[in-house]
Amino acid sequence: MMYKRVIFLGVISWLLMALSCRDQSPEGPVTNVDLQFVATFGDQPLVMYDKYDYDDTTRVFFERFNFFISDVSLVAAGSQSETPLLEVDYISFDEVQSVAAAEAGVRVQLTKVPVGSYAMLRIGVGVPADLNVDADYSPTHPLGARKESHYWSGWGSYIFAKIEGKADTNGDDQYDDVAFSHHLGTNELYQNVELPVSLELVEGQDGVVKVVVDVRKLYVRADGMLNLVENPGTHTDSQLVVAKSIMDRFPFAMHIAP
Amino acid sequence: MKRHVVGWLSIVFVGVMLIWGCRKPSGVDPSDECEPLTHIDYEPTPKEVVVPPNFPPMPVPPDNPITEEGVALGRYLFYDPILSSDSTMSCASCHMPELSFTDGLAVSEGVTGEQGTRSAMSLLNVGYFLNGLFWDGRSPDLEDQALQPVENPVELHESWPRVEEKLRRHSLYPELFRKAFGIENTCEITKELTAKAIAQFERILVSSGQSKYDRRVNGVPGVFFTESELRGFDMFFDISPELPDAECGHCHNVPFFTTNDYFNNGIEAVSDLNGFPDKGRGDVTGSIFDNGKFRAPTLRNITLTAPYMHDGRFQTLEEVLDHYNSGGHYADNRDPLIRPLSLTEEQKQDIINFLKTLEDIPFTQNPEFQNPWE
Repeated sequence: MMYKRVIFLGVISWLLMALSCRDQSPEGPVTNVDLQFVATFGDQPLVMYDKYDYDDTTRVFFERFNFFISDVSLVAAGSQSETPLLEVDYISFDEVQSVAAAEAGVRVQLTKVPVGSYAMLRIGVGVPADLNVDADYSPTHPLGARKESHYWSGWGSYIFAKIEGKADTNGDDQYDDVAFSHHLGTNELYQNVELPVSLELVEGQDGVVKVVVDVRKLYVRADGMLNLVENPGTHTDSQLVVAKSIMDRFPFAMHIAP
Repeated sequence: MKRHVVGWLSIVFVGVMLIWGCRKPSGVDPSDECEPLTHIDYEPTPKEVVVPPNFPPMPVPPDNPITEEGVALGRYLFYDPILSSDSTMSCASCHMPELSFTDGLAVSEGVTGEQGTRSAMSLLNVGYFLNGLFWDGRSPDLEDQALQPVENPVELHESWPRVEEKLRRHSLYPELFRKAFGIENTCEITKELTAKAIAQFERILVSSGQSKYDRRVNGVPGVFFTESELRGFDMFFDISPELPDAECGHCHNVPFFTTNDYFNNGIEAVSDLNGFPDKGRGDVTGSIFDNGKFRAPTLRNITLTAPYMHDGRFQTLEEVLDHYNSGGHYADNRDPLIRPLSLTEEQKQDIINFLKTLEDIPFTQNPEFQNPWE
């Protein structure tokens, strides 16, 4: 009798331990998804300091391209069920100095993503208003780590994206004609981007979603490309219109690669 | 039988040689020289780093928490020439508190009188600098950085084993190391613990919050910028559309007046990116596009840290402003924000007047930061 009780208590203990150690997600099994950001200029990989045709008369190279992403979520196929996955992170192509690095892109891992079928990826470009404050984020937080370089007290806002480079406008192969520095921020410039995906996540297998950002499309205007000579910077309130015109193009500049 | 004897003798011989080869070079077991320290109490007291209201909390690595005892030890070490080969120089020889922990020289001199190639950087708020230390960012953190000057031939020109030996035999340090780190005997005094202690001391080198700028932004009653300082502030951070953008704040942002990033600010005339006499960041990353880039230093206490730039080429703030106003020399990697500014003489002076509001004399006079040997 005593022997049976011991076995019974042992089984109960084992069950309790097993239950307490299993994944707590109410949605069932989960996996990871790599968001792979790749930047291009048109159909060419974007490599810092490589030269690109900007328009008929201008060639450019880029020295910095970085931006914050936020409120990343996946929307399930066949329903509007949305799974929030990431609050905020920083994507930088500043150190991309080879085609291989450009093709590898910059990766952000989304963890504990419920397995299933997804039809939409939602990404905010910039810092959402509730986080876009002068707060003491820890040095390991994406907004803490980049505060000195990206929080602009004059705006009371993080710089959501930085695009910097130089241009040769007279065809002499010297890039000293224009140095452009487009720093884009403030709450009204925040962008919500929705990207259709066809993503099947199965247990035990990580997913990959490749997000392409075509920097050239950020500068396309109805009448051609943004005039860099007239608009080399976007730092003051008076340049907000230009800044907004660049940020507004993000939804059109991003797509999911097959 | 004879062969057996030869065989056994061979084995014994090889064994003896192996033991002989493995013995310690000195012939003395170092454990014999280790003085026990467990009779000294080890009760470290956590130390909170006091920072101004407009600063974030000091980031502290979990494997080197700041304690009263660790800071005390680090302070003794920082000011002790025991770290140099001829006992003439300490960390403080190039990082003097009255000069905001710089040395007033264009490039620093080592114990042999030989000159280095770069200026001593200010240690003000250095605990916040998490994007590499030195002008080129070659050290990831203070614990690593503090190891390097000791063995640099144009700095302290000593060897770490000798420093460790000197510290172990010292009349004061074994007790201080015991109290700071709980070591059990003198042989546990190492370069790593030495560097940790110095790093702890350096992390408390934080602004006092008493500069005019800090008092103004923290709302101290009755503290206002003059009209000139305010114009300088507006141009520094490009706040007023009526005034030119001096582009300063992009690399020297609040609250530390540095972004801790690396820039080519156009001070060097080169024909191509391989032409920089000092490649700076490029020597660390190996990228040609980083050649000629250096860390943007803090502008806090800039009035005390002349001469300026990584090689001390500019003697005055007026020269610095003249350089930035000119736009400097073109290179593909010159920062895009370095461009001709068209500032008038009055506007340059306004910016200098604003920079003077960053002067923090109480920091330089903080008793906790001074030489404990005096």
